Amino acid sequence: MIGKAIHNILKEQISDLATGGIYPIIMPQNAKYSVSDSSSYPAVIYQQITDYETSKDKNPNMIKCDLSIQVISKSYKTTNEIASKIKDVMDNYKDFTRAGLSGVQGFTDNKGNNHSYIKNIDISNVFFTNEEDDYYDDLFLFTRAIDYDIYYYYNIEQFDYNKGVSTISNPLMLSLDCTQVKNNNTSALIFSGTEFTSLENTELANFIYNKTGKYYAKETPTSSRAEYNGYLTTEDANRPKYYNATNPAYLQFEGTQYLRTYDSAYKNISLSAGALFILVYRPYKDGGFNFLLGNHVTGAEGNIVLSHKKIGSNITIEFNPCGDFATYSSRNITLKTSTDSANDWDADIHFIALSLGGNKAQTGGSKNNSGWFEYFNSNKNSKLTTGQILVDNSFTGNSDTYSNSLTFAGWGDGSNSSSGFRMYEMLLFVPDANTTHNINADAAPFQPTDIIYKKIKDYIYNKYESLK
Amino acid sequence: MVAQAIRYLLIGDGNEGNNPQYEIYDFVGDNVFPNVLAQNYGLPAIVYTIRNVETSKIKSFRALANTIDVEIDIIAETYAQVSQISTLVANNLHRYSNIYNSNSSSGIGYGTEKTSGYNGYGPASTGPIQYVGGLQILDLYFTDSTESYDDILENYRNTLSFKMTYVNDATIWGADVMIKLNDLNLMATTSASGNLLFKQPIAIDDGVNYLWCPSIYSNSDNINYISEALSVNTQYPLFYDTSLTSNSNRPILRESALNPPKFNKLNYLEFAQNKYLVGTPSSLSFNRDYKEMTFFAVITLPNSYASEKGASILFKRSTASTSSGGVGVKSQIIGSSVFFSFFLTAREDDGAGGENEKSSELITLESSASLNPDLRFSEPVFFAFSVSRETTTKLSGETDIITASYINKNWSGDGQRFNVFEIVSSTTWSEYFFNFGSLHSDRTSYNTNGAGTINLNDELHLYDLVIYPEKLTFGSAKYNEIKNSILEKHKMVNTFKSN
Repeated sequence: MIGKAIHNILKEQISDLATGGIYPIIMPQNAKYSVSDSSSYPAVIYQQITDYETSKDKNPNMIKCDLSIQVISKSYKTTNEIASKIKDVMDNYKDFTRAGLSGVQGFTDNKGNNHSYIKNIDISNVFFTNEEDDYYDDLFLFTRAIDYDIYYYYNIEQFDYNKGVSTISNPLMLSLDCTQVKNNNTSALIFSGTEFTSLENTELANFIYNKTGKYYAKETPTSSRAEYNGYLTTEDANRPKYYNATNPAYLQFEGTQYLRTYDSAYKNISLSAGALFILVYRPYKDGGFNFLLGNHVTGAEGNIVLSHKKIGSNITIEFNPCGDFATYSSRNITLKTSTDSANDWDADIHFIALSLGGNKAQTGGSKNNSGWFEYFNSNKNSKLTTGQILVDNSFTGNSDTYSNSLTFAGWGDGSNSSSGFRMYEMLLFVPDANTTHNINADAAPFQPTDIIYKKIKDYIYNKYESLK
Repeated sequence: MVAQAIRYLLIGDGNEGNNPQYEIYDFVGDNVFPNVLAQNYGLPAIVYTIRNVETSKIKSFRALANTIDVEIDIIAETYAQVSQISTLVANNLHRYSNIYNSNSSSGIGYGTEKTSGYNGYGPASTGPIQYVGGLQILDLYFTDSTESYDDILENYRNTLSFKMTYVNDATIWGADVMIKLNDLNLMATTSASGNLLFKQPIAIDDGVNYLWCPSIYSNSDNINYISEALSVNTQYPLFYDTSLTSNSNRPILRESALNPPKFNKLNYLEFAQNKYLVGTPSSLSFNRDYKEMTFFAVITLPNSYASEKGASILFKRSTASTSSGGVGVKSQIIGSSVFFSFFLTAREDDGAGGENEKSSELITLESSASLNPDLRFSEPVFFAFSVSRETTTKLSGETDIITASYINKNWSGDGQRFNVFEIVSSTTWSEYFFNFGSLHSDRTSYNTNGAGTINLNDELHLYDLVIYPEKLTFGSAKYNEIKNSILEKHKMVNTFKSN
């Protein structure tokens, strides 16, 4: 639903509304939206009617929203001024600003579709349809209603809806997509340097932007939430390379190339309540580890590491919640071992879902990071049943006492070399709080039976047809 | 049933661990109401309303499917919560698919975690039809949503509209048990690889280890059970091979030849000698007792003209000692005539506080060189009967029979519509006199106490089975709809029947 996005557009783009005065559907009585305000006006009320555009696909690509924005104030002049500003912002809304009006640069993709990111909404087009003035003589208020048709994409970012109060961004926290390409054949969400310079094929990447922009997270279980920068970044010496000569486009990591989470400095994301990682990637070089998720902490329990490696004919997919397969080897979880290159290595596109429970110190359980996974690729997709995932692909975590919480830092490892892997896309889901999911305290907060996981699979199959 | 299924689609199995609708339940809990918010409710809440039923009409029969408009109102004290819940509801219901398929390397699974209560033992929906909450959902899609504010209750509200199309058949009309063999997704067989242990759907010529009905047991007042907590009401009827992966008892799913008008390439269960399927859970399905019912079936009894055969359609396996009702078919050779009979077994008091099984033939057809020489029970036979306890000593009902070998013959007699029967008890009939534990049986030389000492384990082919928990009046609209829905695919509909 688009309400949150509309709220953000109006609040951030119109100075008169920067301190408040924007309400969904109805205005509260005596709504002084700040202590110093002497008046509840001007105020803006928005209301939407939504329907899906007919699609032959199982998932509709586009949603149409009839949006009505009503400006209310004590003078016609003020009403007219604010309404004009709203029209300047909303009419044919396209965010082609340098840095993105909501922290994520908009663009026209190589299929000719417009993308303007506002929080959890990706807007395609906004069309003005009608406008009407009115006067409430009982309340002595002037009002103007402005109607729009808004077309936006029906995609996975809608799950960044923030359940709970004053909490971290959830359940979707990160949506990192390397596959988006602009109509001039440069990267859409990946940039070099600080100038928002899009990349051409084989150029080096400094940033990948989160589709939902800035996000709230905690560094440790007990720290206050902070608003992280809406990207992963790296040092010049550690930049991965961008490729878009083939479809889909990707970032290629070798050696100690990485991209990390950042908030005025590199900062980890605490996952003490558990998490669900969705990765679409390809391990393309053998010989050693490939740190799809990498560690950047030395000398102590570090960030989760996830690797898909092939050494000789031995293929291993494994993770360690504490950042080091050697130092904390007792905590290694091997997800898959194989010698079948054709089915477990050679494929062009690989999918892995890794769902982890939280730390027992925070959850009150007896195990750290128990959970389940699902893996398949474009050469072999056996389409597991939920029963197979729960029975055959579940794992039990360790019962150690951690010094540091389960954390996420980014792609690639700062100290240990990766042979070579390609990253297409990653989604990170986190719960708003510890949850037993009505199973037990050790249970992963995201289960394969969830609505969210069902929609993730729909999204992945729809986007990556070779994975079907 | 529809309303209850919608409620399930919203909050699923409640506080079960792998509830497919867990995220919605986590928000609203049990605050889901039909049509109107309950007074003294908690928020957030969901109200669902069914509006506007459209039927998929066809000329001769009741509509094949119904399409309904469903309105889901999300109500909360904050706009944010309404948006969050709306996102989950819209995403879950639009093009709904029940992905819960718990088949694994260790056992059979279901389309739900639950093995008791509403929706328990539901089949995994591995095909285009979503079997959930007793409905067979063909399509469910979101059409639009409208936000509003209730200024009396001071709540935010979002009304989501959906269209749902579901199959309209005997299960919607109240049938207790119905098998639907044309949907291979309602059967499971052992997997060659062992992981999954059982695979679903199956293929023609596969063994049927598990057979689901497409809808749930009814909540009829004509059913009795030990206690409500042990009832199988509102669960999915499920029949299985108790030997599991040993495959010792299972029937085979076959497809009949395309040789109309008698054989029309239809699926049937081939219960070879001694094969059977037991109801799950076996002890509880045995204790589902009927005090009246109507039975419909299409069967063949192979090789029953040249030699005497006997087969249970419904009864119990040889290791079950519980008193059981049953329905069976047999052939008996007397002189140069072959007599084909259907018989009913019901439970009567034994005078010592327990129960006896007592049987009686319901209808007998004779074939000889001069009388119905081509009558064969090795060709499809439709048989229906109704029964209730008319008095403590008398069961009575009607019968209806159509044979593929004499498709236009009125077996009731010229000018007659249906036959009637009475069965008198030796003592008194139990009030709830009928139950069963298995499809087919492995019992031999069984004293039926009224229909002879016969084998009940001979090969039987079962095409259709419907058990309705009510004594229908034969020739009534409901009876005709169920009968015709069975016969239409057997091309037996337009047989002679006097008016």
